[in-house]
Order: sequence, then structure tokens, then C-alpha cells
Amino acid sequence: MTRQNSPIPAQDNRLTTNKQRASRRRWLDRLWYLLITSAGSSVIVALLAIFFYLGSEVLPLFKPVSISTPQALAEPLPVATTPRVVLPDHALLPEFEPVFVLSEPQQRYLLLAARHGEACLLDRTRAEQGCVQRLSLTDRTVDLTALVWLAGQRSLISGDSSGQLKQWFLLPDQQGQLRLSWVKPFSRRAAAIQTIAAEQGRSGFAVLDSAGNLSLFYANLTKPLWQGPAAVDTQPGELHFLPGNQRLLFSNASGQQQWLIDNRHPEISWRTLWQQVWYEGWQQPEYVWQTGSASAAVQGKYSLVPLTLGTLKAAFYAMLVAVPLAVLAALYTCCFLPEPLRSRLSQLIELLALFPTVIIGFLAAIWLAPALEQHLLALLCFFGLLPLLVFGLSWLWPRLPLSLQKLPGSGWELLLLLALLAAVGLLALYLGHALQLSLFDGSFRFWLNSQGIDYQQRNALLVGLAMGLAVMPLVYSVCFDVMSQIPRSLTLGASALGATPWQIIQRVILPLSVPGILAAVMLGLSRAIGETMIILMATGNTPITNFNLFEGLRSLTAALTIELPEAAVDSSHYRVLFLVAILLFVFTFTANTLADLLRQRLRRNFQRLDG
Amino acid sequence: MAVFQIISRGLIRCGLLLASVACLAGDDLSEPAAPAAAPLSGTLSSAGSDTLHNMMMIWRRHFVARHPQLNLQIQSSGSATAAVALSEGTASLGPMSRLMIPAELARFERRFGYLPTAVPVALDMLAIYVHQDNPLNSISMAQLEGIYAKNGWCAATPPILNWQQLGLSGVWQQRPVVAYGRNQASGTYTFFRQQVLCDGDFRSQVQQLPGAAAVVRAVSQSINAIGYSGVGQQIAGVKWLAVRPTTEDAAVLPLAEHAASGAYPLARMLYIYLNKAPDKALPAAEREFLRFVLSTEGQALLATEGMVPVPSSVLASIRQELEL
Amino acid sequence: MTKPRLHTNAWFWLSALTSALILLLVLLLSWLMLQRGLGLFWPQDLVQFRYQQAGENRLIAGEVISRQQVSVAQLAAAGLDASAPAERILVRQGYLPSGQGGYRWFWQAQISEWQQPPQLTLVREQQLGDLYALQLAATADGYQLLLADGHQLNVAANQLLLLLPTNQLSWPAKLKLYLKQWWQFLSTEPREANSAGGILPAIVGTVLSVLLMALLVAPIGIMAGIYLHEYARDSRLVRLVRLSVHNLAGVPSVVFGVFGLGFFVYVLGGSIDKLFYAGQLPQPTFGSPGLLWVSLTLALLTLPVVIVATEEGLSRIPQSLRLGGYALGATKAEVLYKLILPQARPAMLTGLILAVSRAAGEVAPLIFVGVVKYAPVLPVSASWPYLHLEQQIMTLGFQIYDVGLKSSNADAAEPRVFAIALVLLLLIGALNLLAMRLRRHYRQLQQRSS
Repeated sequence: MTRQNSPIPAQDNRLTTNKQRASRRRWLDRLWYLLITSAGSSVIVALLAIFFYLGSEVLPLFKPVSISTPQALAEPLPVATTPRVVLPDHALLPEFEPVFVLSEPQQRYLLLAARHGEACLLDRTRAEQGCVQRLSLTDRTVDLTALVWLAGQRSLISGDSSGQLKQWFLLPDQQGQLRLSWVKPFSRRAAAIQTIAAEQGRSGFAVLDSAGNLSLFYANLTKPLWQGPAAVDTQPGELHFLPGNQRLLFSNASGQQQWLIDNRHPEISWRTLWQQVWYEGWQQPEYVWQTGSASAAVQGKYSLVPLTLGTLKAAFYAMLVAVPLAVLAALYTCCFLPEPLRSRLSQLIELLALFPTVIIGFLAAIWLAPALEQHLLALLCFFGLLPLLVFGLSWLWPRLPLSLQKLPGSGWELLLLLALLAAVGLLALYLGHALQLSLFDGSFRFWLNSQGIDYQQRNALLVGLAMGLAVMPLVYSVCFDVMSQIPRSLTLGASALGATPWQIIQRVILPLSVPGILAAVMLGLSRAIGETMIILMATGNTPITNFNLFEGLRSLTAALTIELPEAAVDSSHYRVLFLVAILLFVFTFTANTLADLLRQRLRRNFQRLDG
Repeated sequence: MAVFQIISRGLIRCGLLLASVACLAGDDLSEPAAPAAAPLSGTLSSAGSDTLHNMMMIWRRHFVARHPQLNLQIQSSGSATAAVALSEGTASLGPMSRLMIPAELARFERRFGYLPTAVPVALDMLAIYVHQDNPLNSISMAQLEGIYAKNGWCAATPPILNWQQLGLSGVWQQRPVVAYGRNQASGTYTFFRQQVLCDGDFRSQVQQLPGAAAVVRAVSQSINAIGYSGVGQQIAGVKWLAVRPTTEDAAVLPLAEHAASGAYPLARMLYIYLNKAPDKALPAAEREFLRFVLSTEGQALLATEGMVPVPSSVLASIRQELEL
Repeated sequence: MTKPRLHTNAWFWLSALTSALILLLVLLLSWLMLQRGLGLFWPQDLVQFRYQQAGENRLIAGEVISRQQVSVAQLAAAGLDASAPAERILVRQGYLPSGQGGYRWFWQAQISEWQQPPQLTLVREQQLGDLYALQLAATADGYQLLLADGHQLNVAANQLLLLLPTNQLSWPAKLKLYLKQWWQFLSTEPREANSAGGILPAIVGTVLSVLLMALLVAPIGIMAGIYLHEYARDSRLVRLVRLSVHNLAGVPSVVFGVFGLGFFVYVLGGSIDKLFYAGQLPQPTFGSPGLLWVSLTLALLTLPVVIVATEEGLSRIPQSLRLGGYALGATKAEVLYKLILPQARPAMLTGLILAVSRAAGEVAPLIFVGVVKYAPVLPVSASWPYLHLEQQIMTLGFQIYDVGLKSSNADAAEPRVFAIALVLLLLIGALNLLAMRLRRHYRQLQQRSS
């Protein structure tokens, strides 16, 4: 086939044309080389570009806070002062002289605090009963010097003369009665707290102490985001944030000064992303993923723990379904099936990989979810009956007539097993129904609930089954490849030494393909971690932190898909979602690299054994 | 809240009757006769609310019938996308099922130097759905909070975990309440969070499904489920619960007359946001589209989706503002 | 070779059983898709009955969609008469002016006067959708219908899509109608918020975006494959490139969508607009999601598939062929171009087709970059520039997600999703069949030539 366009030119006597030709050929060669090399490097550029782009969107999240030196303002700015709350007459308790009076947003409760920190919570609708709660905001030996609402008026920050800062929540108790409860201290300031200013629309605050030090805090973190000398005169005055929280104003008798603050994402830090945080209105610290709301006063809650756990949970259950199926099926097709059937079956299973996951997700949500809820017991029965079937067959077969004994290994046993499986499936359905009626009051699922196991219709089992089916072909095809690449010399040798087929599998094929199977598992895992549509459609997207098989989950991918279109560009939420993308990238990168290393090692092994 | 003031002012002016019909009669607020506009061409793209999607499609069909050359593209992935799309300039109509939040407004203003214009185009209601075999008929707002909220900021209701706590007996005593809702991108989610949870947090067990139909479908498939979604979902196998604004009030079904009278607590205004510079008139395509949407004909189409027309006094003031 | 006592081993049976289980699942899945997808357009018998319950006494006309047995326990829990198990039927009533139309469950016990009258007709109208007419009278410009709730309705002939007295139809007529409905489904644009009508824009969008992707990915992917296998020496850099290719294949597709939105749409598209379409700003042209960005994102997504396939194809070609070429004095480019590539063509084509079939089913990343639920105007037109790269498109995969989860008329939309899924599956299946055929064809050619 190389005859008609041989690269060697036909006999040509003229030297000059030959030379021209040679140089043209060299140039072409060079061009070709450049083109192809640039295409090759463009792949690495693309990968780097993705990584750097994602990184550049995330980095501002972790930028430290910066504050300018204070500037004196020539013209004083008007600052919004909190309206003084008018006390109802009978609330004036004789022994109580309130210094601070605060009212909660629904105006029903009043909080009065006296000089030494004694506080009284007053229910205005039942004011004649006096305080519904009495407590001390300090340890009584020091003075209470500041008490402010954080934005949204759900929690309070108190400061005292010893430099102690504390956060308090108004939480409803069992009877629906609000109570003030102590949440946490912030790291202690060196001198007495002079004044506290709350940020607008988010839960940060600035503190000025009497030694002239300024600190910036965010409610989720006990350590200050920034602290340093304020460089203002120490006459008592007040701090105020201007709208946008980029300017902090200090006003006292001698005038006004302002700081310019660059503090875009105070709510995000490594700690809030990965550790439990006690959010406003919650009974204890928890991992919460609940992003913004239309009203800006609501704290965005960005814990990556539920999402990461959800992703791992889904991937774990999917692998639990996919790996046994894939490995056993690969073993069977590779070692027991005769040739034409072998490639047919492996092709068929690999075709399953082309099933778009959106279809699988849809089927899982619309068809499988209610079916699973109804026939959960039948499924359990089915899996219980399978081992019986296996042992039954292996017991029964040697006792059958000889003509039938030849069946296994010919491929015909597949048809038989298909029929048997269908029969067992029907039996399991019947059994499940009967058991449900007789033992579980008609519904296994509600019985589970009464046993304290929370069963949700959109659960990890459903995802495991659906995603297991989607991941299985990939794991299968890698396993199948590995097993069929095992050098024939080894199996033949073992056979010549008198090993039975099963011994060959056990002693030769399986040990040799272990790294390959591991690689397949890694690849499957990375695929399961990155899978989006099935999880999005088949789960309830509940950001919870447990591994309960019967509860739902929310994965990194699903969060990205639903929330990214809504997130305002450059907001904390948007950047956290990019961090989620990087996290996914890192997960799959690790899994793939591991798989790659394993496969390389395997190849070297085979070459050594073969050579 | 400003919107509801506008609505109520409008309603008082017209004598608090079933808005549009009564208001139109004998009032100078009726729409001006539309000039015979030349057929429009070009592209008009809309990005935003999922709730308004079907309505946009219906309006689109009637509108495009008149202007066959016009290419009107509609993308509906959630209200928040409207704000992003308008300020990024990727769409010129932004249907939203809520008002923009200050951050979104600020973003738009930074980009263009003026605020976007919100045009109310419909009244919508959220309905509470349960399975058709559920004997419960009504629920109070406080009970809803108990089901959905983590922290009772509205009424401090203790958590409601099973149907017994909602007053059902027999086998229902042990059945847990499975709560379904929309995902965070939707205006439905935000509105519900404001009205029922007072901006509190959802319990993390509340299932968030990425579509209005998915919520109702899930409820129809699960006997112990409850879910909130737009009222326009037509599906067999579920029923509405009547809602009591407070425990003492009578229960109200999400019907058109209750939305207009303000008796139904989960009714809201739906908007189309526009990028209109203060000194410039709207581009022809957008102007004509809005003129159509706000016309009697456009508003009458709302009934097919179970929505309610905007009170005509509000309509009139919008027309004046937009110089339609 | 004898296989002593193979069959007695439980592991053998377990692995065989597993394979059979997978086969069973494949069969179940295919059966489910075919049964639900193909059943959609078969003309059903129309029924009419009277329904009396709790003060309600109505005449109902429509199609029975499904039946459900309700157990005594469930009846009791619902607070209904629980003396015996009951049956209920889901009926599709179509549009009714009284607003009582749509899908509804009816208790079988409360139904009387059940009949299938021959004059009962299914009428499909452009605006209102499906109507079930008890009686039909021709008027000057259309028909007057008598509906089950007693309303009279006039329908103009030019608004009429279908007039179907199903109960009178014979088998062949039904079959013809069935095929006609399928054709309409494939060749028209959607109506009623995607819950009726056809899916032509989605088919065109899918095919077009995937073709464009193939055009983009083929040269780069193949050349990168050649680079890795033929040019690059086994250096650390090459190992890094190979690793990153394999990793690129494993990156979750949704991350590509994020990158596509942020980089392609906002950055690249934004600059194109500033350079070439400045006059139209702030109305964006390429700065908003569209066909081009969909294809580019897909190309990035499927790049590794093509590279890996090319590399594999090249590694199958014996080294002797290359050496022979060099021995005859050919340059490297000439050996590649004239000797190696023709031999490796089947592998590259297969890789490309696999990439295409993977792209055709992709949804998650495309939500960000230009696939929308409704964009009936096709991105191809008869006038310049023929192909509108900036337009948003519909795709089959996104339709499944969107119609399946977001349609406001879920009862009507759901069966359609199965039909759409079937179309998508057939499209992907056909592409793969093509890939297999090509592979076999070229393999035979190679065998013959060698």
C-alpha cells in the first residue's frame, strides 16, 4: 500500500529541484512537528487553565482582612442611632436600674441590663409578672460596658470592663417561651471594652477597648479577624459601620475618624468550612449547609462537611453495588464463557455505560423510588434468596444426569439462570408482600420508622442502586481488560501442572489482577464522586451528616448544579461553590492518579512475567 | 412589604372587590388603546423564575403570534438567575417570583448606575400539598413552621415530626411527616422561608427537589409526605390543604378570590425585572411585550395557570411609569 | 481440555448468577424504556361514565390512564368506607371550560353508566390542547363540540390538529395514526410548556451541538494523541501530560460547566462582544450562554476520550511499519501522514464516535452554558449566517431533566419523558452501532491488506 505514493521521489537528475524538494520536505516535517507538539501541550494548558481559573475565584475567600490607617473626617457624617426603647411603667423594678434596654424584632420581649451585668428578660404581654428570666451577663465582679444586637437581632454581644466578650442567643424553650442563653466567649481583650459596633446585614462586629486597640470579629469565630492599635484619641466615643461595611466610623467629642476596611468574606474560614459552628437560633453547634436567603440578615451557612460526606456516602453505596457485580461478571465472562459469547456479553455490558445518566436519574426518581418504598422487603428477600440459589445449584448439579452436567461453561447456563432469577424475583415479591402483611402491619417502611430507623423515600439505597448500575460498566470493562491481558503462558503452565480451572482462577488470575481491580475501583470511585444527574434527581438533596442507608444526602456535584446559577457573581456563596469544584477536582485527581499508578505497575508486572 | 401596601391601597380604592373586573368598570384607569405596532424582529431573551415559566411561555405564544419575526428565548432556572442575568446583561427580561435583595440591587447599580425596574405581572399562591389519601384538611402557619423550621422564629413552635402532632389518629400516629420543598435557587423557597419561617433555617431533613413538579410528584407517590409548591401544579393524586393564618382564623384554600382579598397567607406578587435607564425609553420589543402582558388580554391568560391578575390600579401606575 | 468438577464450585455459580443478574437488569431496563416510550402514542379507547360521590354528580369523558387497588388498611387510614378493598382509576379528561378538567382519580364503586360510545371524539386544538367531545357538529368554519361538563365550544378548523373518534377506528387505522403521531412528535416544536407537541428543536440542538463539538475536538484530540505517542519521548513532562489527560477524563463534568460559564461565557464571550459587537451592548451577543459555548464545553469534556483512543490505535501499529518508512528515507511527518494515520483511522473514528455519544447524553455542565428549556427557533436558518452560534438551544438530555421534574402538568409530561429518553437512547445506540460497524469494517480491510 506504500507503493503508489512512496516518499522517495522518482528518479530525478536535476540536483537543484532535489535540493528544493528536500528543504520543502524538511520544512513540512518541522511544521508538522510544531503543530502536533502545540496540540499536545494545549492539553496541559487546558488542565492548568481550569485549575488556575478555579483557584483564582476561590483565593479571595482566604484573603486576610486589611484596614487602612484612620483618617479624620472634616465634615461629620450623620450616624444612625438606635431608637431608645421606651420602658413600660410597671417594668421599672425597684431594685433595678437598667443601663441597657434592648427589644427583640417582634417587640414582644425586652431585655434590661444593669451596671454590674444583672439582666432581666421581660415579656411585654405579661409584664405584670415581672422578669421571665433573670441572669447575669458578667461574673458580677466587673461592669457591663457594652451590649449590642448583631444584625438580624437574633443574638447579642456583651462586653465588660475586664475585656471579656460574650455572645448570647434568644432561643425558644419547650413552651415556646424565649430565653436568653449563653453561647460562647470570644477571645479576651487586654483592656476594658469601650464600645462595640455591629456590622450591617451580616454578623460581624468591631470592638474598641480602653487601651485604644481595635479588633474585628465575626460571630462564627472566637478569634479576631484583625486586631491592632486604633491610633485614635482615647476619649470615649462610639463606633459605627457605614452601609456596605467597608467604612468604620469612630465619633466622639473631638470629631470623627474613619477606617477603610477590606473584609469581603468574613464568614468563610477554614474553621467554618470544616468544623461545627454554632449558628444563631440553633440549639448546639452543627455542620450546616444552608446558603443565603433573600433577606440579607440571615447568615449563610457554609459547612462543606455535609456535602463531602454526602458525596462519599453516595459513592460508597454505589461502589458497594457496582464492585461485586462488575468483578464477578468480569471473572465469569473472562474465564468461563466460550469466545463468541464472551465478546458479545462484554460488549452488551459496556453498552450500558452509554445509558445517559439523566435517564437513569429520571427512572430512579419517578419509577424506582416509589417501587422501592413499597417493595423494600421484597428486595431484601431477593438478596436473601440468592445465596440459597447459589448453594442449591452447586449442590444439585453433580447429582444431575451427565448430559446436563456439561452445561456449565457452555454459555447455556446463562439462559437457565436468567429464568431462575426471574422466578426468584417473583417469589421474593410474593414473599415480601406476604411478610409485610403478616409481620409488619402492612408496611415494612413504617415498621422501620417505629423501630427508630428513619426511612425516607429518596435515600442512599436508591442512589446506590441507580448509580451502582451507572458505574458498574466502567469497573467491569477495566477488570475484564486486566483479566484477559494475563499472559496465557501462566494459565497454560498452571493447567499443565494439573491445576483445576478454579485453582487457576484462585492462585493465578485473581492474585495477578488485584492491582487492576483496585485501579478499576478507583476509576469507578472517581466516576461516582463526579456523578451529578442521578444524585440530583434521585435524592432529596438533604444536607445531613450521617451514613444511614435509608436517608438521603446532598452531594458536592448536586449543590454545584442547583446553586451556582443562583449565586451572585463574586459573593461568598459563589466562591465557596468554586471551592466545591476544586474539591471535586482534587478528589477525582487523587483517585485517577492512584488508578493510573496501579495500572502502570500492573503493566510492568505483566511484561516481566511475559518476558 | 411595600408591594402589599400598594396592592391594598389599590384594593381599597376600588372597594375591596374581586379586583380586575370591578376596578376596570367606569374607571379612568383602563388601558390605553394599543397603537397598531409594526411587527417586531430581533431577539428578546428572558432568564429567571421557574414559577413564571409556564406563564412566560403562554404570553410568548400569544405575543409571537403577532410578531412572528421576533425570537423570544426563555430560560427558567430560578429567580436568582434573573438578577445575575440582568446585571451581567445576558438577558433583558428578568421574571422573578420575589423582589430583588439589596445585594442584587447594589450589583446592578454598580454596573449600570441606576436601579432595575420591577414590574408586577401576576399574583401567585403557594399551595400546601398532601397525598390524596391523607385525611387532614387544614393546617396552620405555626404548624407549618413546626414541620419545616429548625429554629422557631415566627411562632416558636416545637418541631412536628409525626402526623399525630397534627391531630391525626389511628395508623397516622406513627407515620412520620416527610417534608418536601423547593431548592434554594427558587423564589418559591425564599418566599416560603420568609413567610413561614420568618427567615429562619430549614431543618436539614427537608427534601429539596429541583423542580415544582418534582415536589408535587414526590408527594403524590408518598402517603406520609407534605410539600409546598406553586398552586398551578395540575396533578392527580394530591390535594391542597387549607391554611389558617393563625390558630384562631378560619382555614383558607388557595383560591383566586382569597389571594386578591389577602385572606390567603401564602400569596405573593410575581415580577418581571427590566433594565430601564431613567432617561431613555424602553427598547421596542420589551415595551411591546410588557404592554401585552399588562393588557386585559394578557392578564386574563393568568387564569389558565391558576394565577390572579394584578389589581388594575397597580397596572395603571405601572403603565404610567413605563410610558406604555 | 476437561473441566473437572467446575460446576460444583459455589463461586462459579455466584459469578454466573451475577452475570445473569446484569443481563436481567439490562432486559428490564430496555423493556421499561420500550414499553413506556412506545406506548405513548397508541390511540386508547375513550370512555364515558357518570360519577356520583358526596353531592357530586357529573358526566365524565376521557381515557383511562391507570388503575389502582386500594387495600382495606389504606382505605381506613384515609378515613373512607373500609369494608372491602376498592379500586380507583386515573382518567384523563382533557380541557374543560369549567376548570374541572385534567387528570383525576375516580373511585370505581361510584361509577355508573360506563360506556364507550362511538361518537366520543378526541379533539386536539392548538391553544386548548386535548378535548373529549361527546358530540360533534360541523359549523361554517369549524366544529361545535359538546363537552362532558355540558359546555358548548366552537373550534376553528385552522386551529385543529387532530380529530379522532378512536372507538370507531380499526387496527390498521390506529397503527397509521400511531405512526403519524410519532412523526409529529419528531418533526414539530413543543406546545403547552413542553407538555405537548414535538421535540424537533431538541433533536436539532442535540445533533448540532454534538457535530460542532466533533469538529472542534477532532483535530486537537487526534494531534495530541499523535504527540503523546509518536513525538514525545518518555520524559517526565510527557508522563505529566498523560496523567493530566487521564485526569481530565475523570474531572466531574459539572466542573467543566463551571469553567465554561466563568471562562468561556463571561471572559471569552464578554471580550468578543466588546471587540466585535460593541454597538449592541449592553445586549450581549456572545457574552451570554449559547450554542458555541455548549460545543466548546463538550469538546473540552470529550477531549480525553479522543486522545486515549488515538493513542491506543497508534500503539497497535507494528513498529516495523515505521522503521520500513524511515529506511526508505521518509521524514517523520511523511511516515506518519502516509503510513501510520491511514492505519490508525478506525481507532480515531471510534474514539470520536464514542465522544459524540457521551456528549449527546450530557446534561449537568450544559445547564450553565446555553441549554434552555424552551428555544423553539432553530439555530440554523436559510439566510446568512445560516448557523447562529450565539443562540441558546434545547437538547434531549436537558428536556428529560426539565420536563421530568419541572413541568406544571406532570401527568401529561411524564409519559413524554419516556418517549424523549427513547429517542435519545436510539440516537446514542445508532452512533455506537456505527462505531462498531466502522471498527469491524476497517479491521477486515486491515486483515485483507496484511
